[in-house]
Amino acid sequence: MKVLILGMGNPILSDDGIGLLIAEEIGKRVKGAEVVTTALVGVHLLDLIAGYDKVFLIDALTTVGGIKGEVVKLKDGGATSHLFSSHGVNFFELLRLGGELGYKMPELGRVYGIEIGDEIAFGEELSPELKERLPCIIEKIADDVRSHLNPPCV
Amino acid sequence: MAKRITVNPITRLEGHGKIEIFLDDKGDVKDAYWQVVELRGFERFCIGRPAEEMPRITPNICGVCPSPHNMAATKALDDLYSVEPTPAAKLVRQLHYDAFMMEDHYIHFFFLSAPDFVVGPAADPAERNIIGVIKKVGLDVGGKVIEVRKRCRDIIKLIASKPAHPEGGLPGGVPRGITEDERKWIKETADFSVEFAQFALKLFEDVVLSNKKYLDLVLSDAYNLKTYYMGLVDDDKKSNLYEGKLRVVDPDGNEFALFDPKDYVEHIGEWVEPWTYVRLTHLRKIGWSGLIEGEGTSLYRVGPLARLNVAEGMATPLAQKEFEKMYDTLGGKPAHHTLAFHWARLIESLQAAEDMQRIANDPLLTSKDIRNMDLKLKRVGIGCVEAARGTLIHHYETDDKGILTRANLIVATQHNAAPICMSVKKAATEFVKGPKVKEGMLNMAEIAFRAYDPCLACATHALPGEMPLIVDIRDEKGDIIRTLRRP
Repeated sequence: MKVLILGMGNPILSDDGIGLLIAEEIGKRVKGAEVVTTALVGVHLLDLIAGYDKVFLIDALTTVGGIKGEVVKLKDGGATSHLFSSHGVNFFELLRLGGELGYKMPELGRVYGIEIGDEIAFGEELSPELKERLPCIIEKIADDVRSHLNPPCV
Repeated sequence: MAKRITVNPITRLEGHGKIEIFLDDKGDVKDAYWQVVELRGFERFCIGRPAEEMPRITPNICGVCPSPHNMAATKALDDLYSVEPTPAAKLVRQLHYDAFMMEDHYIHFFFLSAPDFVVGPAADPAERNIIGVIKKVGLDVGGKVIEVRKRCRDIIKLIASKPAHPEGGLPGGVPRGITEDERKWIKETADFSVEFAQFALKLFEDVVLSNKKYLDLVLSDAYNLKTYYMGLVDDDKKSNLYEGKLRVVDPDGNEFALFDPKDYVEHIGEWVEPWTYVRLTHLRKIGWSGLIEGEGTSLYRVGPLARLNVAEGMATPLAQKEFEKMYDTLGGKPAHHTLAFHWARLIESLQAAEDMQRIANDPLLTSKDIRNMDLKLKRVGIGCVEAARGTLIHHYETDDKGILTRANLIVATQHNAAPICMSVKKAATEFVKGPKVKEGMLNMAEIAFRAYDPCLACATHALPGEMPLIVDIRDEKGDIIRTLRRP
């Protein structure tokens, strides 16, 4: 099975880019998974995801009252920061569109949103709070991806 | 009792950009504003970096206009180092730019505007999308859109390594040239693109122009705004996306100004209003007029329709025919019909495709002379291109080692911010009636907004361009009584 870990975010917007960092680390911890990181949105994602069997998305998330560093597993249709775009097509439409056009589109594994708060500034490093929590976030998501791909025998 | 409706096109942060429509006690529209909250720090982020990093950094500001930022930054470096690109390098840059423009315009047309016209402006939002469009016009159209887009992206990838966020950008040239083998498929892509552009214009004719209801909408006063217009033109005053002088025409179409973009400060004023963080631009020689149209206004618009309005014609023959047809239909120049931005996009796409054919057939394209190294740092550099959404200016200042001490960008959405407010207000005044505001009514106002395809990220120098739409309808106490959400 071809598995894609898609990290989304902007590399020059500090905490907004946390999904990019996490995806790279998950790739080292989940055997056989491929990693793609991107700042793209909308239809541009088609080229990145077509051809895979399963895709896991990792992205920054801002919700009212969210706790910085919290990992939220979004159910199908739940949106993180970069999954919707008014300039084109949203991610879930894209999955349908690709299928209609004959592309082999992946099954959606999970969508992980990492709460980053609402103070975003330009920068190439994470804020100190998220930097401190990063190792824990990475292990938590890696465990979840692995258990999703290899559910324990019961 | 007054009522406030909030149309909230948030970026990734709740409240970072919204349209507020105020109703009076009869339920009629009293006022409308487009508000954007600024995220500061871009200039601070740039200061202290080598200017050469800007073509790599600035495409990341925006998820939808990366190539224009890359190109404006590269041209600013040309100016900063007092160097002209070699003829072959210029061809390669223009090839990149034509490919980007087509890709961007088609995404806008087929994914954003076609749902309103093909599926219908009052259709269920769940159906009013690209999948709804394909259901109506056929799967093969969707396949063609994806194919032309892929071909354009392959060209950008070839030239600038990454199709969405180009990395190339050198003062006086380009990082790589084109080989004869590559010329072959570039030619094929150019021919395919011309054919596709003509197909897209035919589709527009069949779906929009042949439908009296839609044509009446395009021509209606609700979507009409009398402003000045600005855009780049070449020496013959033909439309040019890559270089030239900035031409401004008044609401009657008379030339108001023609200037080198390096002199933009003399012509473009920036104005701060308390209700928005976007620095609103206006014609400095007239002075800030406020949000008024027609006589006395100092507001101008940029973007596809503005570019055609300021041009004496298109630079390529097939696009010129379409240009003439558009103005015949709209009743002459300048056209103030906001929905004609969509039509102008398709005409520009045809010109870009024809220009790609010109470049693909130019013997110089494969020259190995792709870099002019005669660099002389002068500490100030200004670059200007026409981004898909309108005039884009990058202005850098450096110390004597080329380290940035100042960076200022003026972007398309900034030029259009005040007119967007006015366009939304006019459409809302016509179509939105309270107290029970239906989704279809709001979409009629959003159609005006969507014609500009504004990009909050650029306007605030902040975020990466994604912008879902949340519509909050509030009662007189400010409480939300209904929320509509659409991607």
